[in-house]
Amino acid sequence: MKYLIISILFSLLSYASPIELAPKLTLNSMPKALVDKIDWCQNTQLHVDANGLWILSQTNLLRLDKPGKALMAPLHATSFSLTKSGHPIAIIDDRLGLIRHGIFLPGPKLPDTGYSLVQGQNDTLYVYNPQKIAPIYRFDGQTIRSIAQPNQPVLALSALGDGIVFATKEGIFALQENKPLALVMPLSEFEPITSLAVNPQTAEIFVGTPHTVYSLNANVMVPLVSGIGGAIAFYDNRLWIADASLRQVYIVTPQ
Amino acid sequence: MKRFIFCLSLWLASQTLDAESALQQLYDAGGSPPEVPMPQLKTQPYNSGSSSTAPSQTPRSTSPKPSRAPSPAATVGATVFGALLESVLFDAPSNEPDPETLRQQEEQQRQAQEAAKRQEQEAQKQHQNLMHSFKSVPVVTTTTETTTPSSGLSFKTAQTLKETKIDTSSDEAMRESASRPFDGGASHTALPATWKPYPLGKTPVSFSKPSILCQNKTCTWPKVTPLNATLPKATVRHTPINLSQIGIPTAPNPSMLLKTILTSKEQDATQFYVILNRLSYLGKEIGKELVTSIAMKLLESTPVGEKIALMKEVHDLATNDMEDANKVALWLGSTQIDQPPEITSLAEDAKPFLIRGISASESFEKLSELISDTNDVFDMSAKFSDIIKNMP
Repeated sequence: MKYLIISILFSLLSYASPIELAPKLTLNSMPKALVDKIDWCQNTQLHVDANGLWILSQTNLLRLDKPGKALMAPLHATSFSLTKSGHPIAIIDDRLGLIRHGIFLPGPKLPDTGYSLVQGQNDTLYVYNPQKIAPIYRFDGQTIRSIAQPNQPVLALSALGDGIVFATKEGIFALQENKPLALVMPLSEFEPITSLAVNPQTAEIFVGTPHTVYSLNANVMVPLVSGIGGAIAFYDNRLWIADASLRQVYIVTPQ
Repeated sequence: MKRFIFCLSLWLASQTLDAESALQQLYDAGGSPPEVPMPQLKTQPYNSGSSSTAPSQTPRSTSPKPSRAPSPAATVGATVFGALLESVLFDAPSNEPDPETLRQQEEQQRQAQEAAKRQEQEAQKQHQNLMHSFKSVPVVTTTTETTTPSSGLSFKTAQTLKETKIDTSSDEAMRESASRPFDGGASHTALPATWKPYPLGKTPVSFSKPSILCQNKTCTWPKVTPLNATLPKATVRHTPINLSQIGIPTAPNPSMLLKTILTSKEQDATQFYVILNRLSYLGKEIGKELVTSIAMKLLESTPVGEKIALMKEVHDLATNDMEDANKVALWLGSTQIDQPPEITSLAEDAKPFLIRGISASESFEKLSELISDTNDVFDMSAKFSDIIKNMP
């Protein structure tokens, strides 16, 4: 009975917000049996590269392309990424640390609560704070550089080359060393941005919001898929979307 | 005693493996210390139910031991550990277990390992089946294909890109390819061309100098100066622009000239001008509809039907060829009504209409005939012709 009600609710939900897809794209979703295993957390993150498809769940970092998880004992990580060598790096209890052989090795304590991390070029990490006005740092495992402190909390960040592109509630900005801060797209009164991804070949930016994923190219913002959103990643010429509210992982592929 | 010795040795070994050094060594080694099995992490299957704990622990226990040079603490630890182990071994020779029991234990262990391996393989197979059974999601595909200049296209161009794959043929190749940037390092060249970012201010942003984050167990996060960039404010126009107040340009403007023609008899000049201006920006089809309805209204009340028809013609011209539109508009505004300009962009049958429409102003009857003859050019409704016919 409970399942019936839940399924009715889900069908109503999906009826209320139909998924719309831009032309020349196909949308695939993960098998239900697989995504049902995930203990979803609302601020989920996605990492896709040669080291696999990883997702941040409530108590672990789960690998989805093969059965696997990073932590032996459940722990609540707030953010994660993978080194080029395939080692997960996570923020747990406001500490940055590597995960090796299923054990979190706590490293430096972050200067404030609420920090997130994202992979940078040449095995570096970018550390930024989506919750408060705070500096963006670049860390290579040993040395640290402070990049900048925007005047709004950084909602999402993605590295491209030796620069970064980041989103605040005011817009999407690009920042490179020894160049002035540049505005890519002003976004006042826009939906909150949850995630950014960049196609490294074309520099096309993908913007994830809770219910829509946009493509930003040549100053034109086009909705690629609406009705789903959340954490996004670009890899293998595909756009990977983890929607925690729909509890599903989607793949958008050009036809 | 044994337990104590074991704990002591573990503690000593852990001294060499604290968290910071693990991070540092990882990065020092270009992201891949040699003992690490790189892409294949020893991970625990999460989807094999409650039985998953046992099989995953077995392979982890057989993972290779670190092979880097031991620190002094580790050397001391190993010496102590060795000495203690020796004493323990020599102290209790009588407690040596029966070889038969040992053999049985080994056999049990081997069987357990095999069972675990089988289970893991089954889980893997099941997972692969699941991955292959990816379902296409039914979507409401939008039909506005023409208005998506970027999405499909640039997404598509990326199909030709070469993926940087991790070479797993050897440890050396693996390390080498792992340290290569994913994007090949050339992505930033595409950046300025694609984004056309708008620089906020002229002051370049300099990142802080690299400094060691953690030294002697204390971590110092460098200070940073806030970015003081003010965003350009988007302006929203609330006051309508009075188009009639815009100065007359030196080059003749068809709209301005038409306005002059039409206002010679019409009082409400501004209204006409605004209508004309709007018409010139509307799409062809909408324009036709509007012109028809406006023309009908005007023809019902005013004697300027003839010129409304011309207005439509000039408007069509303007959408086709601005140069020709200028010519016609100039001609309409001039007194040389018998010398029509040569136009190139309109259909041939529009020309006689233009000429005769002006010169044959004797009767509206004739005009209506002309209009019905050239219906394909004008696409005017029969109602339009009727109204003209019924005019005085």
